Amino acid sequence: MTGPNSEDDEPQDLLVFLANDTLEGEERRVLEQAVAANPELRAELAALTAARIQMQGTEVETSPGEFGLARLMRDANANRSVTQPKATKPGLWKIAAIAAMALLAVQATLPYLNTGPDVELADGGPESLDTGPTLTVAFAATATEKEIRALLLELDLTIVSGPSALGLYTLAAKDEGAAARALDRLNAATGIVESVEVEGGD
Amino acid sequence: MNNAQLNALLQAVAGGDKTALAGLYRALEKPVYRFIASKMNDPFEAGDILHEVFMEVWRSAGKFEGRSAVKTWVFGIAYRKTMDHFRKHKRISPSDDLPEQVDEGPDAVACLAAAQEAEHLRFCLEGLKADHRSAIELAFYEDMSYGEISRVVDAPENTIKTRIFHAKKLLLRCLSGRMKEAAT
Repeated sequence: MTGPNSEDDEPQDLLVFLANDTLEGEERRVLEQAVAANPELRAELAALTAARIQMQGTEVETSPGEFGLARLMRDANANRSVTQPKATKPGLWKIAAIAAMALLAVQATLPYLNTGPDVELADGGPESLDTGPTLTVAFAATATEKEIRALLLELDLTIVSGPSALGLYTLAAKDEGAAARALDRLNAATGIVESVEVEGGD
Repeated sequence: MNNAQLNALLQAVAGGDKTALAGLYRALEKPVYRFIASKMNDPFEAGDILHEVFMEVWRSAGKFEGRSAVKTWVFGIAYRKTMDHFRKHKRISPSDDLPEQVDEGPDAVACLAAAQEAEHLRFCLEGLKADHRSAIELAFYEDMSYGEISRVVDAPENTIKTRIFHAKKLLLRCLSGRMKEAAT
């Protein structure tokens, strides 16, 4: 078999792009003809197609998820017009992950989390979006990221800070009405939410 | 989410809409993270680069001219950030551990069987050189054409075809070898 840059290019060099269905026009027509005429090419295509299916069926094991989004929202609030990339604080994500692990440990042992005004959030205090009230929430130790995400999407809430050292998140609602509805819904979601309180709007 | 929807989100991001930024993050976070993490040994470093990517999206959304798909543009940022990270830390990209065995072609039946086994596939992908692996991953995880891959990694289309050609050859040979090993 020849390389794809040589003058006598072989159509099978692009077999990967027939397997992912992105090959078009004359290249596709020529390759399909070659595959139809050659059992070895058909077998190669079958193996590549199987590899693609297998790869796409593999879940991403651990991504930053909502924690990464909270970090992004916090930094986006502070940084818009700067053109040079902001230097990454070493280990910031690691700290967030450790704090998340602390959340699980704390929630596993404490039946109730104090959400009073003396609680200090990891960022030094609750942040809010431009307007609207915020809610301070502790999620249950058994709540999965999927459940939390679904709940936040349902209520149109955005994580603006957290988790704090005690595992508290600050969530922003669009307005007082949305915050009130969210409060009711979060209080009812006993399997997902451990505690919740509204902080009040601007 | 299709390109028109991603484009609408990106336009809103360009206007300073943080909700749209969150939407874009939720739509692309996992595939972009997987793309970055496949080149890194440290998931925390991969998380940091992911953060840098979306901060760049936040700052530069207004510069997007629509000459490529939004996903291609974001993956291009991810690729550059990852390569910058390697350069900054003076890391050498992983070498190709698979020996060139020109005397023997892959066994097609063994390839097909091995390609259906996640463990064999992961092993063989991890054995590919970084450039080869990136090309195959963008083709198979993200269903990108060779033109889109060339834009992501900023390389000529013929270079991508060459990488894919070698990556495919090495991948199939490795898969075939794994099945033969397992059978003995």
